[in-house]
Amino acid sequence: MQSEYQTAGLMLCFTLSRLPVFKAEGDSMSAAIFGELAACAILFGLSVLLCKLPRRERGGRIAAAVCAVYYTAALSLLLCETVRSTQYSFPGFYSTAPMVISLAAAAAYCASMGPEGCSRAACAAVVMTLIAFVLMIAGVAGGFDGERIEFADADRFEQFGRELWKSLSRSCELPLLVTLMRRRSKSPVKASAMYFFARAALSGTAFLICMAVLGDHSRTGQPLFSLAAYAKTALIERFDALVILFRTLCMLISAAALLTGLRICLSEIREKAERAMPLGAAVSALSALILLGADLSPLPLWSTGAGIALAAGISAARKGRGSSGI
Amino acid sequence: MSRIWFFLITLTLLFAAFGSRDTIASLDRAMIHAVGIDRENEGYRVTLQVFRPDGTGSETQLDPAKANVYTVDAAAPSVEQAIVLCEDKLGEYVFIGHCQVMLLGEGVSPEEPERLFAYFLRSKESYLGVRLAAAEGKASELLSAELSEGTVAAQNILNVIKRSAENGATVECDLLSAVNCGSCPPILPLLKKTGAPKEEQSSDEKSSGPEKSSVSQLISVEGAVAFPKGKEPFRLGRGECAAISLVKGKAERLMLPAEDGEKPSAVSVEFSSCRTDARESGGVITVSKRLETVIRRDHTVDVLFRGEELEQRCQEELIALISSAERLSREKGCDLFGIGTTVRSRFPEVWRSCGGDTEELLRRCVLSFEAVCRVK
Amino acid sequence: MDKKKRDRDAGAAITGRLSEDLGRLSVLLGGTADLNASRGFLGGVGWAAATIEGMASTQLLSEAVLRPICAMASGKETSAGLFSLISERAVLTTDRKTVRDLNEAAELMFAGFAVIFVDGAAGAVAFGVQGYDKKAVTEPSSEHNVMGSQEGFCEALRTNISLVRRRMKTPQLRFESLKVGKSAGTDVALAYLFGRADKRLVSGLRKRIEEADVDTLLASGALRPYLEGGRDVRLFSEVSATERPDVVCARLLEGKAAVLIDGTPFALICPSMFFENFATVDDACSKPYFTALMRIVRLIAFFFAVVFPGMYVAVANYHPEVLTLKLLLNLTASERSTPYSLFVEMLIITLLLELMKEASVRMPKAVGSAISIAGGLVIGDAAVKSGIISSPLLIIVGLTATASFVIPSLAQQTSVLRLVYIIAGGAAGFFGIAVVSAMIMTNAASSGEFGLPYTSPLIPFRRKAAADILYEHKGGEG
Repeated sequence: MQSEYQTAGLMLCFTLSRLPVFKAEGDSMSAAIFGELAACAILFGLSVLLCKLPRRERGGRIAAAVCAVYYTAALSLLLCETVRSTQYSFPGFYSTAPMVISLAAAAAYCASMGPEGCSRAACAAVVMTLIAFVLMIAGVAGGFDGERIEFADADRFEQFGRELWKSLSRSCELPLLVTLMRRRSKSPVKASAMYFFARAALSGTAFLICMAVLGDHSRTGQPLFSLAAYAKTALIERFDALVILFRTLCMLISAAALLTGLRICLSEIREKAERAMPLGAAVSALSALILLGADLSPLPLWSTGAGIALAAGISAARKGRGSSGI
Repeated sequence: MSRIWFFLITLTLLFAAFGSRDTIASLDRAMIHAVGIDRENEGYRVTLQVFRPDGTGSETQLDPAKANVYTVDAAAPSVEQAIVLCEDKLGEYVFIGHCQVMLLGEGVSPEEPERLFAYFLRSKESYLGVRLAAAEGKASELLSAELSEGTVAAQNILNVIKRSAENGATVECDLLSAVNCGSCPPILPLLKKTGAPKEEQSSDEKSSGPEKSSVSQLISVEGAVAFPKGKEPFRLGRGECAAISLVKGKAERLMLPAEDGEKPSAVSVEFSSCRTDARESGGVITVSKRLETVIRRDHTVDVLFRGEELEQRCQEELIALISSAERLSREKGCDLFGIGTTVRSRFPEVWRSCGGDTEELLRRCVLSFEAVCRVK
Repeated sequence: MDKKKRDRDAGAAITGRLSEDLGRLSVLLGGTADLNASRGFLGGVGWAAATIEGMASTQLLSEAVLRPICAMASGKETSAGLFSLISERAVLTTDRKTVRDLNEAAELMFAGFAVIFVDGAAGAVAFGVQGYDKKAVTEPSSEHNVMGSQEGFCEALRTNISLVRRRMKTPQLRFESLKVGKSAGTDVALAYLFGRADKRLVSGLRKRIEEADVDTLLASGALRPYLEGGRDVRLFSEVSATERPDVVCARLLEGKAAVLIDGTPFALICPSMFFENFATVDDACSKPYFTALMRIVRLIAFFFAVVFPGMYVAVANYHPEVLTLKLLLNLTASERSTPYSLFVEMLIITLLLELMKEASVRMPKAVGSAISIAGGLVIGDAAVKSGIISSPLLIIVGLTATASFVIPSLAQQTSVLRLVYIIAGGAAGFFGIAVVSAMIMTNAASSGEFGLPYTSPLIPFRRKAAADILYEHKGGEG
């Protein structure tokens, strides 16, 4: 069993790896902030409810197969998102295929080290990323202007709704969180509370600072990258390269967690699943390459309904053989 | 877990290097210190100030006796095309990551910064905090001036702008501010090349080497230039710059004239804080700014001045400067003090009702300034 | 005991017929030239003393064993009486064993015992009269310190046991004697503090030592993979080695176990945590604030030694905007004049560094100064002056090399990981650094063979124990 801190740390890696990609849907960053906070509150309530669902016996193999497909899809889209945002911020710098393949292979390697290794490494990665984040904020402190935080948009309530929907639908980690907490965490409610509180604090702070420092420029491109490019300290002139470093680190650990879930699902479908991890990584890499090559429009990473239904199914499944997830 | 994974990943990482445009190491690219943009016919002439590493072998030092920058320029319909032409002339790719300053010549306006600075905004190397400045005349002339022997020229320009801004002589502007100005127009420091005669050379110097120039080149700051959208740019004097910088909290100190009895003198006034208060009543917004400054008590202040009189005098001076700036702001229909940001933040409905019209905004705003000066 | 062993022992039983027993002993040892057997009569009963040349002290044997026996024996003795005299009544040495079969007699002879056979007695008596040459207790060669003990382990197991016992005069300190090696039967001692060490840890270690599938154990490193569970995919080892008895005692007090091996001056300690590599004996003798400073310096040194070269290559090649302007100008000026790219230069100089390190370890002491001249002047100075490598790079590599010597226990990992980081940084910039870091972190964090995670006490976080990372927690357990 892992502690609630490790569970929260693992889930925070998801958040941190996807934070640089964030962009406000409409013109209002403030709506995005409130949307994210509201989404965290709703998801926290949902996760607690799902953890308290009474367990029933269910057919395991079908549920395990659905989970396997879900984990593979989530992993593919995580790869796509990372590669696409890296190429947006550093155009023409890295080749797509080697990036995808090396990320998938590295995630498979990290997953092969076991879930304990991943969750402990996640805690270390989160701490390092937060330290870099604090340094970055210190680097932009001089440009902070509270009056750039504004709520001037006419349709801000509508934008709030859109941002809330977007935040919810991007939360593809909910089923993973539920499975982690149910099977491996000592205190599920505490882990959930820690994770959502930290996510709300991090996201809110990041977007607020983007708005206060960048102003209107935060509505274009990837605001966190722009903020990092503006941050300057005595030792480090620019922080955008460090964003690449830490977001890739967090992304790999979250991908490893997804692959671990995939391995367990495949082992419940088939007795022997030694090749589950490399197989899952290869399939995810291939589908990511296809998505990137086909240049499909950015999909909401997961439909809220499907994610919640899956999470509910996982929560209610019986523990042991025939149950799905981690 | 087989160790082959580790090697596989290492090999894959090696392959990641292929297919990248930037296979040329960044250290082998031309380091750009400053960029000058001038209007030429229907396009732009871009001047790049490039760092030249000197010496041979690995025992290379930055030789203070030699100039280590040179310029290259090219003209094209857009800034981006001109930079590519410069690369062709240099025979190297350029590295703009440490560009210190961008000078805009006469006729170049940062009204549409997304268009003018597209190359720099797109590049992952460029710094959003790069300083912008306006040149009196041609930017290329300013960048070609031999300012001193051995120091990095662009660094010199930057220091001149920084010191002037701290002393309230001008208003600083960086790329992010230009992109992000909102209702407040971009206000750029105005730089001018001046010459000052050197001292007489000794006979030894005259006979020893080639004749050197008798005029040393200097760059000075002559206030600032504001670029309101859709209007002619206009100049701001030192007084207006000081007022705007103090109210925005960008200036650290200011020298104000003060009479000690009969003879004119000056005293240094340090910025302490500027509090903004805004109230709405009947569709009219009253924005009050209270500027607090401090005069450090020292020997000169104690001996030459009387405390209360000095405070009163300085307050009057500050109010006069701010009023002058406000008059200019209303005359030009330009939000020099950045009131629009306050209104947008605190009264979004009013902001929306103005529809982005700065003159309408100024009509609906009443500005009141209070300056407090304390001897401490 | 399996059937084969029973049958073997039955065939090797001492018969009491002196000539036959000696002959069978010689056959058992393959007619080895270093078998000494001297015979005589005492009170009319024949006896023989068998030793291995160079293992038993002849002086001790004659003065402490044979002379007293001869003095105590009467003019007329029986076989049983003489045997009883030697085995029970005469107090000759404290280390005395009665053996009933030749295999056991041979093992004891190889351990330096002298075995006395008595004609007519179905047994022999072995006396511990070791006199083999062994190295004296000297200063440890690899772990130096300023204020701690200057004694290090030597090759003799019994001496090493005594070094530990001298420092921990408690009945809770236990030594279990085990044998490892199908051919050689090397003596191994498992040390732990009863009541403090976890029973599962001790039993697990005992089982792994007994199941170690080696022919002979010539170095402590040969046993390490078996103690680690045979899983050599881990980058960091949970079994550490030390030459210092005071370190062993400190670890035993923390509830860990130590394995002492005959013939090697390095003791193995398990489980070992990552942060223990940054602690030294001097830390216990220093003020806490100084200890904290030194531990931070060592952590920084590890970072410099492993990550810094790769980060430098990544920053200089891919993200030079991260560096300050003046530094970048200096680097540009230096790198412009060199023929190779920074990545290639870094690889060359790192490999040269490893070459020089290996040469300095293997070379004879007589030519030590030649290596210093070759390395420092020829490679360092001349390479820079000729423009093959640049000065900033040499500074970085020098700093890296110095930093890597600060943590000798992680020397292997430092050398390999440094190269990995350089390749990753040179090939893919910060992206490559991130990928490699993620893999290394999960690899290190997943270690935990003995129930305690390798990254403990930081991850999982234990507040009291976490303070030990920075300073010695006085009066408490680790």
